[in-house]
Amino acid sequence: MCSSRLLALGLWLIAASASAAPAWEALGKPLAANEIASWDIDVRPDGVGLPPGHGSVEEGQVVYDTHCASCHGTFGESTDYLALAGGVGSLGTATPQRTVGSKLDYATTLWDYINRAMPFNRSKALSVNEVYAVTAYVLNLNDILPADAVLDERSLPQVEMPNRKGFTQAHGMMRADGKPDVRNTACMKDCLKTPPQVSSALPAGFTHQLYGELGPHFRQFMVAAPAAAAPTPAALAASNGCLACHAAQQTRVGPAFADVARRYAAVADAPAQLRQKVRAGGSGVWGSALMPPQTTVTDAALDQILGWILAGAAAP
Amino acid sequence: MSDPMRIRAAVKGEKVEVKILMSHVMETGQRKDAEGAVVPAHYITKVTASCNGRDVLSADWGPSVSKNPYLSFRFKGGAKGDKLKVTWTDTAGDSRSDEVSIG
Amino acid sequence: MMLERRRFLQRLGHTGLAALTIASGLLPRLVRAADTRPAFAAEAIADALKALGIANPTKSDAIHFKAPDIAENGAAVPVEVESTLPGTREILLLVEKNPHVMSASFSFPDGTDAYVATRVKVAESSLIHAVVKTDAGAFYTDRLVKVTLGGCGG
Repeated sequence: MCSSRLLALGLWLIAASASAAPAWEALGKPLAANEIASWDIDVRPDGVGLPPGHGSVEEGQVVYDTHCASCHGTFGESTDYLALAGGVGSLGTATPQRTVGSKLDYATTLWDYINRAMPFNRSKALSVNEVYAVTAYVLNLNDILPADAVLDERSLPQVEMPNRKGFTQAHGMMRADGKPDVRNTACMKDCLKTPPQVSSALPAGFTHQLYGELGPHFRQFMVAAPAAAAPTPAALAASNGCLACHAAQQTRVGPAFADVARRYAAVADAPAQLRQKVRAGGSGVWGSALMPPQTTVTDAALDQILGWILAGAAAP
Repeated sequence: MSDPMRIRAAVKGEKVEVKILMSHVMETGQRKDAEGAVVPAHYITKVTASCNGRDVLSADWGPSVSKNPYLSFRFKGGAKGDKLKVTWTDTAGDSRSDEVSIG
Repeated sequence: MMLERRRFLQRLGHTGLAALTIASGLLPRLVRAADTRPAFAAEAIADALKALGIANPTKSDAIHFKAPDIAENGAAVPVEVESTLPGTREILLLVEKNPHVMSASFSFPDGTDAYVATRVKVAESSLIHAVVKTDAGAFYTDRLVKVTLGGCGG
């Protein structure tokens, strides 16, 4: 029994190596140019990678007040989250303030950061023009651009940052005492002279014995998902950005859903109270971290999410 | 000589919400510079705000208000387009006023 | 005359100032930099309040005082005070452990909310008092703010 299986495997391997296309080539597919482009979003100091677009300080103020001010402060002066303005020249002092103005050496970095990571709970929600506009506004808050400035892919790389020559990574982003977030020194010496031998502790053919042909298992990931089953509340929580700050069981930036459920277990109109809290945002109930007002989630989705949270936020 | 204040005044319901960011060193007179010399005190002592000429806030400050002071307050009786004027005076006798239209 | 000299000193370069202060023995007076307003020169909360005509304020829950439990940077600690006490005229902020305790006072004409948000320097972990002057006397509440990095440097 066992030996006949091994024999079959051997024959299969021979057959696979003999045919023109190796079996693994059936996995995956070549990426189209537009698929690569959707991942290849980095922007360089000289502006390479910036998509065409434009935005003014004035337009940026509207974007900023809607998406950014609740965490970063009306003037970028927040002390709860990263301040965006001020502190120029403070980096070498006892109370360094790391802001866009005091830290960054190129304005394109700000554009790239906003474009890929902001707003924190809904990254990539801004259009290209909105990113240009809010970049212009943040630079204006830092007195780097005048109030009537307009930025586009050509003018942004020309912006001269005050800390052009002083950029340093020898500190943490988030800590006032300047301790780095991580301490990792890359080992660049005494490397192995001979490549390490990689081997499996499992007997040869073990996986194939257990699972048989592997191809069909992979193909399941490649077929399109069955169309339009109604999203679960957990999926809605993910797609509406809740999971950026909350987890089911662990306290993260915001409270764990399970803790919320416990606190509101005996509250009669808990859904109504929570709906209002989510819509208005706020801080101070669970800690000082601020929850931004959630304006984009639909009423129906919010009710589903809250029902799920109050029932204990079970995994789907 | 001093930089202009950033002032935002907006009607929120029946009130006007005002947020101000001033540009000022707010030196306490306790701090020493890199050479060990005491940096002389230099801070805002008085802040006033008025809406179309009517006083809406007055404040007395000491040196322990933070550098580049932030201030927010609310008042009733202001409308879109009214002029909100903010003035500060500091220990050096300097003074600055800035005005915005309530939005 | 006093003011003239102070401005003159401010305009000197740091090195020149150091030389001058050491040479003339001016240093102690400059370090104290006495504020001529008695409340702002006070080094204890009771003294500051006395200078403002306030004695023994009553603790009140009707003063909502928001400040962080832990402030990473004492140079800018956000504080927010709102009083729901009727007839609130003034809100005072005092930092117990600062060299001079009085930080700021705000007075509200009729029509202005008894609310203020600002940022203060906190030299070391300290109680911050929010004192409210009303038509019916003085009230207060306080919050302990722990400071990771003292606010004297900035």
